Amino acid sequence: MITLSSVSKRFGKNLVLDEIDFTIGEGRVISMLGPNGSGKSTLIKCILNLVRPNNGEIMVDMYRSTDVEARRLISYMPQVARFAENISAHRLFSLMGELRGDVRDPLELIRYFELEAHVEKPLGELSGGTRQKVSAVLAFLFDTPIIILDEPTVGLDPISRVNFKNLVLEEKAKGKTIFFTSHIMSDVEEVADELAFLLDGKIIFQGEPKAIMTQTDQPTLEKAMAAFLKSKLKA
Amino acid sequence: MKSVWSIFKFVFLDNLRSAWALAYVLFLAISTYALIYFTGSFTRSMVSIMNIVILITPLVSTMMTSMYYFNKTDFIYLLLAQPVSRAHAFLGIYLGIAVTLCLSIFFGLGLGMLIAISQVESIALVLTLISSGVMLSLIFSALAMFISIASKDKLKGIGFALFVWLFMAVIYDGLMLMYFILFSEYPIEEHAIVLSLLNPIDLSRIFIMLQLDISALMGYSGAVFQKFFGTGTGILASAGALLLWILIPLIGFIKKAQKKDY
Repeated sequence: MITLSSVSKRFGKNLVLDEIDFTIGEGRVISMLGPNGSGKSTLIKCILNLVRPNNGEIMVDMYRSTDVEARRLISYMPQVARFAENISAHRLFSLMGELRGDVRDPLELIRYFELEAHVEKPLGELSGGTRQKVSAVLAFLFDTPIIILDEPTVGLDPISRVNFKNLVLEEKAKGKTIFFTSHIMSDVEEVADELAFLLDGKIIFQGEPKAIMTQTDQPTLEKAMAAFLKSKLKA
Repeated sequence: MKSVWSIFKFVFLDNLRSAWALAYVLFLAISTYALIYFTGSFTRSMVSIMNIVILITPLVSTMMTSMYYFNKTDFIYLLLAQPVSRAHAFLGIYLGIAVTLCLSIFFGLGLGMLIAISQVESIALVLTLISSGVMLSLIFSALAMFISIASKDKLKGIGFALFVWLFMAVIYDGLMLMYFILFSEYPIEEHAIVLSLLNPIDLSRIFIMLQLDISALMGYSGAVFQKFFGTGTGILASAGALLLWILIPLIGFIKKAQKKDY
């Protein structure tokens, strides 16, 4: 479980997160939505301790987010997968295994994402989509109770996207807590138990996808989100 | 410390497989060999190689460290999202870059000297040149890492790191010269020792020149340097100064990294 209590983050004059109180419940799949620049990536970075909040406290299970042990509970897939250019994906998996110690055999995941022909090539020679698949393998390589994914399906081809979502659903069935950001509403609809909508540094909605569709009286989540955002921007 | 070792190995391999490390070794080897072969005099060729060591190696160390840091930000994010302390992560990255630079100097200068071995008159001098290059690489790599972590963007980071190199390599000597001219009426030779300790490039230059036995060319200052750096206290003070030049930026970048937002 992840709990954020009164978390604020300011970059210069720009208040990116404004007194956020937010809980990611154990075993839940929560999708964080919001327009570009709403603070989604900053919130994820705060949980991972890449960004230090100005105020508030973040707890990951029983650890503060500043504690190294908190990150042992989390697997993370970043938005951009440009890692070391001259090193192979295989070597990158080994490094992560050495750093974490709880690594699974990557072969199964390599086959799952059809990366067999690419794992020994330098990462710099791989296409954007293939690098994203490498990043996906990294996210599922460890048996951690929490998985955080930042725009995970961007750049993936349709087959890999379906495979990726199936993997998320498998992890969900195991009772893992999954927190992800996405702009692709069909992905959100398929896997998320809950939505959290972030606008101007505040969470303005948290609930089930059906709730927002009912609230806005729209037939699809995409339309519901657009109507919801319009109404909030007008207000 | 296991994580430092793992990250070091990864960064070291990443650098080793890139073209720059090989290009650097070849540049040093070819320049060393060409200077020894074409200059005719061993001492004169060593002075030219000394200039490469004290000017080029800090520049390459500064550039390579800053570029690695700013070009691998996604990799750094990924590392920091793992259960690894920031101190260990950045120490591993620093060592990965610095050891590549040091080995490039060792093999570059060593290979050049080895090919021209018949004309090499002093192994002690060769070792002084290599160890000066190694020390300067460790120092300037740590300084560049500190400046890069402290900077908000790539342009400012690399720009300021280059300015520090320019200051140490060129401007500092100009300022020292001005000081000596302005106060030439006073007995300030001892001040030269203190001022040299404050600049690792000058310190390395003095060490190499004392080995070359051409300190007489520096006049009375040369005699003062010989007297100070030739003693146990002098060697201890200069070794201490070089060590501090590595440790201060190293501790600085570790501390700076703790507070930085990524």
